[in-house]
Amino acid sequence: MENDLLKNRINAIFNALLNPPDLKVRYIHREEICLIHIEGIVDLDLCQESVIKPLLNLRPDELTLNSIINSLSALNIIIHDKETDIPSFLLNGSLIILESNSKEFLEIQLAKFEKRSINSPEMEVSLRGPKDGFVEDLSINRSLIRKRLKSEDLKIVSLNLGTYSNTSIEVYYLESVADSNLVTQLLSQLKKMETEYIIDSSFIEKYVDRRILKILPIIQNTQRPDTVISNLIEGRLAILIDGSPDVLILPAVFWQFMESPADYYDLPVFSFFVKVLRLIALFFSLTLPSFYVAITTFHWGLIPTEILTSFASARSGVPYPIVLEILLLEFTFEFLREAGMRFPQNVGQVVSVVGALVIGEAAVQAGLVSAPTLIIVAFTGITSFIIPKYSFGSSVRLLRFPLLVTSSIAGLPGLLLSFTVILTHFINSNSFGVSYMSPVSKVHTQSTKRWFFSNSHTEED
Amino acid sequence: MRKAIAFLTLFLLGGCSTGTQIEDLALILGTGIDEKEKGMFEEEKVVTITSEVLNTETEGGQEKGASQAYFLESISGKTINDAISKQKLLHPKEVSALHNKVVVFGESVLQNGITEIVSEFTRIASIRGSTYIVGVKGKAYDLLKSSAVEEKSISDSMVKLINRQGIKTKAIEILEEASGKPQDSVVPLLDTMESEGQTRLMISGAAVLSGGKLAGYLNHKEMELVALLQNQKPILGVKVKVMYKNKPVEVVLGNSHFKLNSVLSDNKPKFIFNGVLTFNVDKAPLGGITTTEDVSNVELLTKKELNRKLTALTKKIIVKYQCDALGLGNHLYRFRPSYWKKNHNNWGSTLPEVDVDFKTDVTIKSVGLHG
Repeated sequence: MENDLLKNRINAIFNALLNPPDLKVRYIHREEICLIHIEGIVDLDLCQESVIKPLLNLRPDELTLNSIINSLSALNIIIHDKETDIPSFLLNGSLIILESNSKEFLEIQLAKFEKRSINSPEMEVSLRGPKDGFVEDLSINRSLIRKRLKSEDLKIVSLNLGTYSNTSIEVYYLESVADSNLVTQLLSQLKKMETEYIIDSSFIEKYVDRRILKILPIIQNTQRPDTVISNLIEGRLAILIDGSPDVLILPAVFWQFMESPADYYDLPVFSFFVKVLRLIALFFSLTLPSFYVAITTFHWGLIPTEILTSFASARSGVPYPIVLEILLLEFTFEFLREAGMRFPQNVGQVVSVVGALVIGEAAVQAGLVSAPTLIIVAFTGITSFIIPKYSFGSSVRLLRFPLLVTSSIAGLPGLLLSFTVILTHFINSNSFGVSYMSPVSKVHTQSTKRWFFSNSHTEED
Repeated sequence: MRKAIAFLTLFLLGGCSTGTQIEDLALILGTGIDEKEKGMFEEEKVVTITSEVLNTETEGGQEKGASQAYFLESISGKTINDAISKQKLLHPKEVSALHNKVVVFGESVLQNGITEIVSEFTRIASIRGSTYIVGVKGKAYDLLKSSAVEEKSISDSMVKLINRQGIKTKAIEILEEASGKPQDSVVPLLDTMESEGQTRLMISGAAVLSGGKLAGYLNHKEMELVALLQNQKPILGVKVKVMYKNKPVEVVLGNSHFKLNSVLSDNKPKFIFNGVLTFNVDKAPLGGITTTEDVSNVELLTKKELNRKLTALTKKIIVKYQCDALGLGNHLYRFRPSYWKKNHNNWGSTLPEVDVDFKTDVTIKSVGLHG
């Protein structure tokens, strides 16, 4: 009779979970005790050592929940009495122990989900500095942060979002440094979030960023723990999502997107040089094709005679206007970039070689495009990849096209005007209350100097 | 919304002007201007402009050398304006003289005056102020026809030659003169010579222009001295030959700087060119200059010889040619305005009588082996 009761309880669990094939049940002690778990997400070795062995050693008269707890060497054991919670405990990787004489049950947390080992992040390579990167597992990511930031000031707020995925989300900040208004605002916004599932941090990014015109990124994402720590100490907030190695950092402004982790580690003189180099690259990446179109279509007087001579000769066989030529090559470049990403790694390299050398060379030979234009587009392509943060680089690549259109219509004045419009957009934007161009939007020599000289801590600091 | 309006305004402001692609340009790199009387009885003149045009169809591409990269074309008309209009009609492409580097004037044009032509040319063909002005004894067409080194553009060769060895006179200077700057100009004179079966360029001297009209010629050495006084660089090969202990010693100029000063005595201006020059010994007899005494003696001799040469040159320019190419009037205009205000009307007659003195400070830097 008692055993029937136990079986009924187990059947109820099976029904609640829609009879999954990986739900495993084991009876011990003449079916007085029953262990239930979902196969594959429970650490079986640990289960064997710390649960099953001690249980089998119990005498028949000790089979009460309390004496079971005392005998087990597992760390996380909780007694519950609400049986409807069992399915969700099982799904989170817990082992459930039912006892025939008790209405209560035990939850033993033995979850072991498959996870990747810690690798160095591919997108943010730096020669110097730590090499570890975040993985898809929240607890590992948390440990990577904890390891570097042993402070009581670090506050972690945990949330669960997504009706189906029930994803754990954690918001990190330093209580004394972070803007408390921003924290409250962000948390209340996150709590209001209604979504069916979250599988990546970009879901949160899109939800939190409420602008209509999302041209510039205002949230930084990184896979490097050292970057997260630096940003936390500088008063920003980090959002970690279980299942995603990308950590969101906000607010993020222009200069953050122009920084690479190595800037913090290299000599200040060198990082100053690199930062200036990146600014020049950004400027070229935005304006070089438009500038080329403007001066070759409207302002030939600005080109030195020798260059003009070779430009004119190279262009003489090309049947369409220069702006069309640039657009054609820009799109080819984008095709190659996209194709290079889709192809398997080994083939990808072949595609770029074929694209760059063979198509480029042949197109010039065939008179489809001229060599100077090819050089301009290729150079612009390279400069756009110097920008350290990929999301910002992509935005800049898109902004190039409106500039190209205006400069092909109105020459340098057109370029200047549309560049001003873009600059105004940069200055007008803000990331969660922080002006996008800060610290240079206000004249504040000290902070600007500090940015350029690589956050170096001088003796006055 | 505001951004949309901004973009719309941008388009409206820009308009839809159609630019010209560079390959649709007929680029003129150099121009020669000649003039001749049409006939014995007619008063009309015929102006011929000869342009060196870049041939974009063949230069650069795969079939390099298939035909010439540059070609000459000559168009005649009653006036410059007329000729330029004809040239525009002739070309299927848009004629652009923005990259015109040099304007060569034939002797006949120099005699009749170039000021008007330069001002007209800059206005109509929109050439740059930095275009070099060059004169030629004979016809400009013949000079442009001569061959340049290594199939390069002839205009390019001219510019390089002038940069290295000639006196540099730009279109803007002629325009300044035309608009009242009290200074005449000296333009380099190019000539041709036969070498290895080809007609090549050389600088033969300079033409002194007074009010834009040819006043006379200077030889190559005199031209160098004028450039020296005008502080133009680089001046190569200014050499002074002196006799020291009955043996010839030759020194070559290293650096130099001249500054013009003036004093007014008895309401008559006196000009002093103060110069600081360094020389290197170029040729000397073996063991001829060894002690510091030798050096200071040679310095003294050099100074005397240089002053003699400069005085002779000044005489030639201001007395013989009655031309103010050294900028004396301009100096008075700038530094003695009250005198200039009173006397500028009869400056032409005063000029040949003014006193010009040279105070030079000569140093010999190197006496040894001179590279």
